[in-house]
Amino acid sequence: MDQETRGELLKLFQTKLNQAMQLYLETCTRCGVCTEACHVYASTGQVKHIAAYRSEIIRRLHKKYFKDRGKLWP
Amino acid sequence: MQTLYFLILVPMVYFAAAVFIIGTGIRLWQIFKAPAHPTTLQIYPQKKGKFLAAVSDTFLFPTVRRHKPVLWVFLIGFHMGLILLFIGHLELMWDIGIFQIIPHEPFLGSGFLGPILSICLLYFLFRRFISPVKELSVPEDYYLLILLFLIFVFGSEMDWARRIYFYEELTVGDYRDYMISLLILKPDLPEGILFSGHSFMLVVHVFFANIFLIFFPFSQSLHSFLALPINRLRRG
Repeated sequence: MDQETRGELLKLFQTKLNQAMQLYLETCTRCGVCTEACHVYASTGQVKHIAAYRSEIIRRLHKKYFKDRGKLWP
Repeated sequence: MQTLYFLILVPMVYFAAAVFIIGTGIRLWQIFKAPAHPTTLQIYPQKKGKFLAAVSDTFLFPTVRRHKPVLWVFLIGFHMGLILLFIGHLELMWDIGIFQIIPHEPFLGSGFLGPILSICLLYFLFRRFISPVKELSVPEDYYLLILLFLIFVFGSEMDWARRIYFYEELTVGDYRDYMISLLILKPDLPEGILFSGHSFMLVVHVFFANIFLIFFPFSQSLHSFLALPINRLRRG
């Protein structure tokens, strides 16, 4: 991915970082209770469909590009 | 060795407390200054007492109770235990009458609080080795749980030493002098803390607690401050 596209995508990501989004990103402890509620996981059994797993992908991006912590360690 | 004890028991405590207070303050400020979500995120069904419903969600975990009752028992045990731990540490500093509704000696819990919390933590830790929670977990989760386990084990050990082995060299009075001196910014380490054979337990306990406080603002532990706001959001 070229730098310009990457920059634009990060800008787009930043526009979505409102209070609710940040609360969800900081609060989830990955306890896995949401697995019970996910009908997609219930039918496919694939971990990648669990809400906590999907939000972890967003959290990694948030940590890496928008938190000071991301500059120190992943 | 006494210099090392001093460094952990005094400067490191102040450093950890500063990182905890300033770090948590900045993190909360960053979150709450962000713009609100444009639409409601209220969940179904709508409840009348929205704030009380959010408080209930935060402290009683009704959803977890419905779907994972075993996890709920350990979660409640752990979080109630944390509140009692907080009260226990306050009582190490002052005699607080209201907490003596059930008369007890410091530290409260008759030596059972630490083991209960440790068992809960081991449950949280071991369930992270089983799918699907295993796939959801990241290194930070294991690190935090192991760190808390070490804090509880060494903290409990100090309590057991007095209760079970009648170890008298390090008394509640020594802890009180030490903690109050830290609080009034005139740090003083009583002889019992610096020179008794058992004081390394306190040093190790404080060391791990310092590490936890330093890591707190940057970890998911922040949910202790954010659980109520997010539940208010969900309740509309």
